[in-house]
Amino acid sequence: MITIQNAYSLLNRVFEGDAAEISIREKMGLLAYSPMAFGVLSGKYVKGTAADNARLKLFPRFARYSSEQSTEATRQYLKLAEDNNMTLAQMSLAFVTQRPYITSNIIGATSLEQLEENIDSININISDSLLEQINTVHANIPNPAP
Amino acid sequence: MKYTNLPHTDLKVSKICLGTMTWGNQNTEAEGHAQMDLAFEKGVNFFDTAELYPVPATAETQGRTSEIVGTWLKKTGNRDKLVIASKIAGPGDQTDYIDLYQLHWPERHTNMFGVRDYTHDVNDAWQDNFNEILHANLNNIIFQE
Repeated sequence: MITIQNAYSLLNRVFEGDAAEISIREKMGLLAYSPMAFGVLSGKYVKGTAADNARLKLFPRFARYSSEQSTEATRQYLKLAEDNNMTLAQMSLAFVTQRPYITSNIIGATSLEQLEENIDSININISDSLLEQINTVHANIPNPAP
Repeated sequence: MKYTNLPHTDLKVSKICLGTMTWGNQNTEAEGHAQMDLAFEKGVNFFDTAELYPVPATAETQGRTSEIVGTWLKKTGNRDKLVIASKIAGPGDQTDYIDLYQLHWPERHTNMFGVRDYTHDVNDAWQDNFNEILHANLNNIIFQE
């Protein structure tokens, strides 16, 4: 086994238990999927800007990231991103890409604009101080979407 | 773009991998092709797909995503510049090989997809079939939750 593909995002850091350790020690890289939690971590649902063809409007049964706790955590991460002059999408993706057990971060998009923003997150750096602030939100609302 | 090696191999993959599961439902073939064009241009050389895509999985649509990846590979001739991960099957008949072959989730019930905690169902039979796979010495297998 050389890779493991699990969901991993600001709303679901369950991988960071024993799996993260064994991933690093055995060099079994994480291919993170749903790093934006089905688009929830674009902030468009909490901002009310989601278009009618947004996934969670088309397929509301995909409720993994739609709990009250996920919504509240998303609001707090959105504020952090704005305070740090980046989009929530980019902060969310850069956070995932920069974790040490990540081999690759599986991004997706339905428009070219989203895709470009998501790919360009490779140029965003999550500073130690931003990481600390992210971890504070995480400590208050840990893994709202396991 | 930034790159890393697929662990234990000399395959160089981009730290951003292009997901494909909307192509064939939320996105058309032309839109899927445009996404692959843009991603490739930006240095993404790693695509992830699956036999059952697009989502939501239905008997009528399954396989469409792989076909869309396949027609783009055929059109562009980019196959040898890419690392393609798939789950169980690949992009139709239009690529000869899959670089990373992934086992698309074990058949078991656990606390995933937003469910907290674990409730054990005594009637849920346990069939441990991983040993056979590992003993068959297949490489490049992943376990997806």
